[in-house]
Parts: sequence; C-alpha cells; structure tokens
Amino acid sequence: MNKCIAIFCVLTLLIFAGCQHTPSPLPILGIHDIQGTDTTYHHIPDFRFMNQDSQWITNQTYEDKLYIAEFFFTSCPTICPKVKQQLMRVDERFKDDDRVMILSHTIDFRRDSIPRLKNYADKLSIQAPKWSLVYGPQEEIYTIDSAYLSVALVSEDAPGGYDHSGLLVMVDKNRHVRSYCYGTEEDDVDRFILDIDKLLREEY
Amino acid sequence: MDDGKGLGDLIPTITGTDYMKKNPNSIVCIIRYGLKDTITVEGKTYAEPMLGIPELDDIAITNIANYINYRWPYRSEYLTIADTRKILDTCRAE
Repeated sequence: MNKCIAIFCVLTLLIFAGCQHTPSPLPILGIHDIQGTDTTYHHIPDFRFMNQDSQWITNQTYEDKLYIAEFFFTSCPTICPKVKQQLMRVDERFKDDDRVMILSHTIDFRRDSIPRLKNYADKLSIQAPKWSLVYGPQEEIYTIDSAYLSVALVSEDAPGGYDHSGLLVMVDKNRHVRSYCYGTEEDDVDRFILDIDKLLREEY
Repeated sequence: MDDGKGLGDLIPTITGTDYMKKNPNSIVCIIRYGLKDTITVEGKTYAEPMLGIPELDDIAITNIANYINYRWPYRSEYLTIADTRKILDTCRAE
C-alpha cells in the first residue's frame, strides 16, 4: 500500500514537473491536410494589399514576425469601434516590440479607399508599418478572410451592409494561425495578450 | 468606449457634452439615419460619417436615447415612443 502511494506521489511530481518544464505550445489552428505521415498545416496563402501609406503589404512584410489580423470598415456603426479600442490596447502593450505587427483589412470595398484609411489611421494615431490598414478588391478580401478562419460577408441585413466576426487572429512566422479572440470582449483580449507573450517567449 | 468617451479623434465623447445638451433630440435621428455633417463637440471637430442603423426599431431607439439621457443627464423626463416618432418625422424630411 505504501509502495502504491509512493509511486503515485512520484508520478504526480513528474506530471507537475513536466507541466512546468515543457509547457504545451499553442496549437496550429485550421483544417490540416494529412497524407499518410505527412501533414500540411493550414497556412495563410500569398497576399498583397495596399496600406494607408500606399505601401504594398505582403507576406514578406511579416517574415519573422508575429502579426494580428482583423477585419473592419471605417464607417462601421456596430462592433468595429469597440474592437479597435481593444486592438489599440494590444498595440500599446507591444508598441516597443518590433516582432509584433497588426494588419487590419477593410471589408468595405465600396466606400473605403486608401485616403479614407489614411484619415482613419491619423485620427487614431495608427502608424504603418507597425499597424497597417489595408484595402483590396472584394474577391481578394474574402479569400484572405476565410484563410484567417474569420467571417466577413456582404450582407444587406447587417448594419452598414457587411457582416463580420470581430475576431482578432494571431499568425506566426510560419503563416500558421495560432490563436484568436473576440475583439469585443476585454477578458478574451487579455487572454489573447498572454498567448502573444507565450508565443514570443517560446518561438521567437 | 464603454464609458461613453468615444475613440481618439475619430468618435466624439457622448458624456455631458455641449453638443448633446444643445441637440438632445439629435441622437434619435443619428441612430436611425446616421450623420454626414461635420460636428463640433467640446471645441473639437469630427467629420467622419457614421452610418445609420435602420435595423433598430422605434422602441429600441427610444430605449437607447433614454439610457443616454439618463446616464449623462441631458434631460429629466423620459422619451416615449410617440416622442421618438415625432422626432423621427422631423429628420426624415431632411
């Protein structure tokens, strides 16, 4: 009996020690392609969008970086201002860390434009390339949106004509989606910031 | 944002402002039809257009207006749905 308790204690200690020394990494999210023993992880495809300073933003912009992607539009009357406020909190937290960048896609290809994005950025003191607000044609925006596992749709029923999730999506240097949060929920964004810290600590 | 303080130089504060005191009914029209004009709030100008939210019905708008009027007291009496409809009639013509 004592032997059993001793073994149990040792095992318990090992498990706790294990937890402390080899923390589990953030998962790679998305639907992966598994062929035999080869796994091709879901990843962000090649893209090229123009930002508020008329610079091209591509995958190369985020080489060796961790970036946070989101979808919004400048005249959005509902969740976007709230998400922006939370994202400004994330930006403030990592403003001196050049490994972290932010990429905001407008989904309003009808009303938004580079000058409108520039104006919006200036009003909120958003600085490129640390934080880019980008414009692109409809098909490209909706293709890239699904790659981020987010949801943006043209919807005549939604306030402002577009329906979107308000998600913040974390992408690592290998173009993998590693974490996300609801940009409207302060608590969830707090947890997301801890995930950013964790990824930077473990993989950068 | 949750405290009604707006967002940077983009969205004006709604807390006890001169604009809201002078135009207590404007919030009803702005929620329904949006705002395209440049407005001045506490000495700062705001030119960003806001889209209206036609999905909110007269009852919802009345409730929101009453919340705002009560939270940052702009008026002492409650708006009724009839009041809201009267105000909406004035801005629909614009």
